[in-house]
Amino acid sequence: MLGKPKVTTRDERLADVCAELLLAVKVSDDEIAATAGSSDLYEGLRLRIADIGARAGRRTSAQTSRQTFGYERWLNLYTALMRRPRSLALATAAATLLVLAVSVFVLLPAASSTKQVAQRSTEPIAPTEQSHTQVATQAENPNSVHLVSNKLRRTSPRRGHPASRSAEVATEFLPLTFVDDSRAQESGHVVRVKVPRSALIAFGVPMNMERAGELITADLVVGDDGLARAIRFVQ
Amino acid sequence: MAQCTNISGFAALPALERVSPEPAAELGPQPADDALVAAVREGDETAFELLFERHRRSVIRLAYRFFYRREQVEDIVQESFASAYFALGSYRGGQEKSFIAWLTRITVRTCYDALRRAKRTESSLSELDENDTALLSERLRGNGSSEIEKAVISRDLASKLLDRLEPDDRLVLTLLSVADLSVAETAELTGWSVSKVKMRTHRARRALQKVLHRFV
Repeated sequence: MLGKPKVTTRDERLADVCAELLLAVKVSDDEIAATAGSSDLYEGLRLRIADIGARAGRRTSAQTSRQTFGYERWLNLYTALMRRPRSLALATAAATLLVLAVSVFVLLPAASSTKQVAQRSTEPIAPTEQSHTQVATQAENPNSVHLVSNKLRRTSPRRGHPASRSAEVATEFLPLTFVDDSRAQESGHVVRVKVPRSALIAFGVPMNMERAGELITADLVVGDDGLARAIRFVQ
Repeated sequence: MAQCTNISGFAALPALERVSPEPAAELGPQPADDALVAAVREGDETAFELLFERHRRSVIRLAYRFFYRREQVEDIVQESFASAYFALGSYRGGQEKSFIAWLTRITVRTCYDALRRAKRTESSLSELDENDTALLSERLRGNGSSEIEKAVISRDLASKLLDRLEPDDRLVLTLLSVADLSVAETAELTGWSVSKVKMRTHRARRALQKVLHRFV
């Protein structure tokens, strides 16, 4: 292909020159040997490998430090999300928001019902008609101090209801004042107080002596004259 | 980054422990490439140096197909062997010429990447002077009788003309016409299909003729 011994057409000459160009880039063995014999060739290779390895080591230590603080986990998550198609990233974000919204709607009613129960437990308990009757009966008959019944009466919704977690258990109303007036108590109000646990002894209610110094909750029925008429203990 | 062996003076990465500190020479008078690779993985620097000494000429010859300046070729050689070093973990030998074929693939890929980088930053060195232009014109128009027409096209001129090709065209023409490889071998080295190699070869020749046609 080298050289032009005959007259050729233009296209043939073009093809010949192309071939000659490609052959012209071939290098001689002497030049290869001269390049291979360079003493700097292998030394430059060693330095290049060391440099690449050092840079890789710095990247590895940086990645390790990020992992130590948990940053890598979030960075990988962010990178993975960004690498994914935009539609998938949007879908993931929408799903996350939906889960949060559902959680809020589920937890909100439970929180409000808990608040309602707390409010009921803190309100002063209005005397019921039944309790009034009992107090009046016991007040009319001062000598008939009934044996204290430690029968406990539930004052709150039954067990099983979510609000029953804060259920109160109370004793019967126990008379406190022996009045001359045999008139029935027509009005009054109930006041919630805290009394020493040792007060149970006066009413014959069993008590743990080790806890005598503790305070317990009690409801006092106070008449219009300001005198306490009855008491019940609440647990 | 692939695993890196703990060779003294090389990268200080957490590497494989040096299990057999015996120099590569004790492995035999002429250890096979696979044995040297295994020794390099164990941390033997002399084994890697032996591999370098054994195959550097092949890499240099291939690099000179694409680049005609010595500093470019040295850079290609170092980059090819460095890539091979860090990729030793993925090398799967077994055949007699497995390593040289594997190293040749790495070198071709390195040359291709360098061609792409050079294409992005074309320099004035690829511009032809008046003598080169006159030579080409006479060669393409004349009948071969004048002295100019008889002059051999220099490697410098040829490289400047080939630099005007796209990297893919330059790659396939160089491997087929310069390195004298077959279409199948070119396909294996480039990772292209045989049909793609043929198509690119046809396109590359037309592109080179188009470059030369300006001087007609």
